[in-house]
Amino acid sequence: MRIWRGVLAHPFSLATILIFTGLLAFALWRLTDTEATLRNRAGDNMLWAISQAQIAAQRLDVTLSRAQVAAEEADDLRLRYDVLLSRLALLEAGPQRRYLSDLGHSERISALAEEVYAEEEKFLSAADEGLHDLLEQLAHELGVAANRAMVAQWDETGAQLERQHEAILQVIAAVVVILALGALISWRMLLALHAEQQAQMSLLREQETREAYRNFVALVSHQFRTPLSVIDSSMQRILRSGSAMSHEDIAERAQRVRDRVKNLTDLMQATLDSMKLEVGQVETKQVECSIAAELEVARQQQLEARPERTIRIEIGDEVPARIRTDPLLLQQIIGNLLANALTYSPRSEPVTIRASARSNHLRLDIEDRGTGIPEKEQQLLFQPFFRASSAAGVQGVGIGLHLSQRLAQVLGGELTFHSRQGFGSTFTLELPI
Amino acid sequence: MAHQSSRRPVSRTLVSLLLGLATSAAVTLSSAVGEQLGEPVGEILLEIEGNIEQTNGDQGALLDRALLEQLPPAVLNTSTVVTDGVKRFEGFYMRDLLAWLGANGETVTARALNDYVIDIPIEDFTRFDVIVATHMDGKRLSSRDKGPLWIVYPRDDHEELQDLRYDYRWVWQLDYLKIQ
Repeated sequence: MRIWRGVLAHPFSLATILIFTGLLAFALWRLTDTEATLRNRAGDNMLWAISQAQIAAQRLDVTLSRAQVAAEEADDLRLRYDVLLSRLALLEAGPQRRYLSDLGHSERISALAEEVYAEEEKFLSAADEGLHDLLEQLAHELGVAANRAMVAQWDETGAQLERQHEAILQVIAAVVVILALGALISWRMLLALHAEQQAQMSLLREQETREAYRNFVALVSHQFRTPLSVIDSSMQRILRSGSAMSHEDIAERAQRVRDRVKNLTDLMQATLDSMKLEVGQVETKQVECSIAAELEVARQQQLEARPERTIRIEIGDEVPARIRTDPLLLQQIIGNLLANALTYSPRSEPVTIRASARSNHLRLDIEDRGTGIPEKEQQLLFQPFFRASSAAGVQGVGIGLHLSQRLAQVLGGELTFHSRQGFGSTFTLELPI
Repeated sequence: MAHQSSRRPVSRTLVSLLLGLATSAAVTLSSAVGEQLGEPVGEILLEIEGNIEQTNGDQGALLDRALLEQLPPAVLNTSTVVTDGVKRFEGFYMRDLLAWLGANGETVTARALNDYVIDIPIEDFTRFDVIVATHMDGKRLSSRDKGPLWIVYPRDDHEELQDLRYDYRWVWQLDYLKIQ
């Protein structure tokens, strides 16, 4: 029912389908019709039948001449007479008689045949009374009829070929139109499918955006409120204490405020970066650089904040020494991934950066032995402002991985991961080289 | 003969069916009449040569009307391409004749009084109830028409037989067969 309502709602589709069906039926009918006319060839035998009668008349004539001089030809004479009669009987039977009648020869041949029947005694006794003239007339008449039959057959064959030709052309035209209509219908269906997909996609994006805003608001209320209240209370303490507060105390509280302000600034910067990426404003600057050097820089930066940790770098022999990429963006991605790996793994456990190369890809695995990511949260990991439940209690915004993944895409690469809760996670950055 | 029943005994149908199944390339037909071939007395209607076991002459078998009438009668109603309407043909099955003579081969060459010659695959006679007609619509076939013998296929019973390539096997004025 639904389908029918759908079809009726689109007069164009309905018309197309009707024309499609109509043309198909037309083509099939033309083919069947042509096949039927091919079988119906009534005149095919006639030329043979008439010619054989003519030959029979001539052979009787010859045998008659012989019998008139030699009596032993009597048996042969009877046979020739019988064969001629049989041939004439064939021409006078149903279908053959109608055909000759259409040619306008039936009456004349019948009249001569009657004469041949009537003169049986004279024929069998080989009498010489005008029989030669009669047979000659009969042979002549049959010859003319054969001639007409042949012409008629040629005409009919020509006309039939013409009809077949026309029918085949019509069928070809129908098939071409059927194909065109089929293509048109398919095209329209594809368009409709595409539009539907687009609509679903934009709906999904809308939902994602709404979700992102909700997360952002939650984040602001949580992440902004805590530092702001810390700043506020520090300032209140300074104000309330007045000159009673020592210079060291003031310096300490001021430092606390500065730290919180720095956190807020970082948060603002990350959010701005993320927004820039969303609208495609990030420009890359590709230069030749050394992988080993870049990885070492990233390691040193992390170790500055966490000097007690161990970060291993393993570079496979197959990895080219230098690659062409944007080192700033690369540092940002690796820095993010290393910071995450260090944050979510125990202090005693090392973090490993493993570089390998395969055909035209560089692969960087950042492996930790940390808490891992719960399986049901894994597909949300790259969403902006998403934070895994295992990250509860750890300072963070939920923008780093999202940012890293987008940056990897900007570099023409891909960021993926696999993780097992309780065993650790491996984030894999693949870049073209 | 004109008043013979058109029904064939079931056992004969079975025999012909089994024969049809058992024979493929080279067809050997066993005798269905079970009588030795006698001498012809009247006018010879049909002369048979070639690979046959039963003969009564130097060349092969010479059959007159009396000898042919020893074969079990057969009736066939069918239309033809050269006449109007359905005709009733009476005569005998070609396969019975071949079995009686112990014919063994793949092809029957049929010739007519009017010198028409055609080769017919012998399996036609086991696949179809082909008869050699002596009568049409109760009247004996004359040599001044399609007689004395006319090979008639059961055209109306098999669509396959409604084909030019079978039509030319309907030999009339039949007077000679050669088995090869």
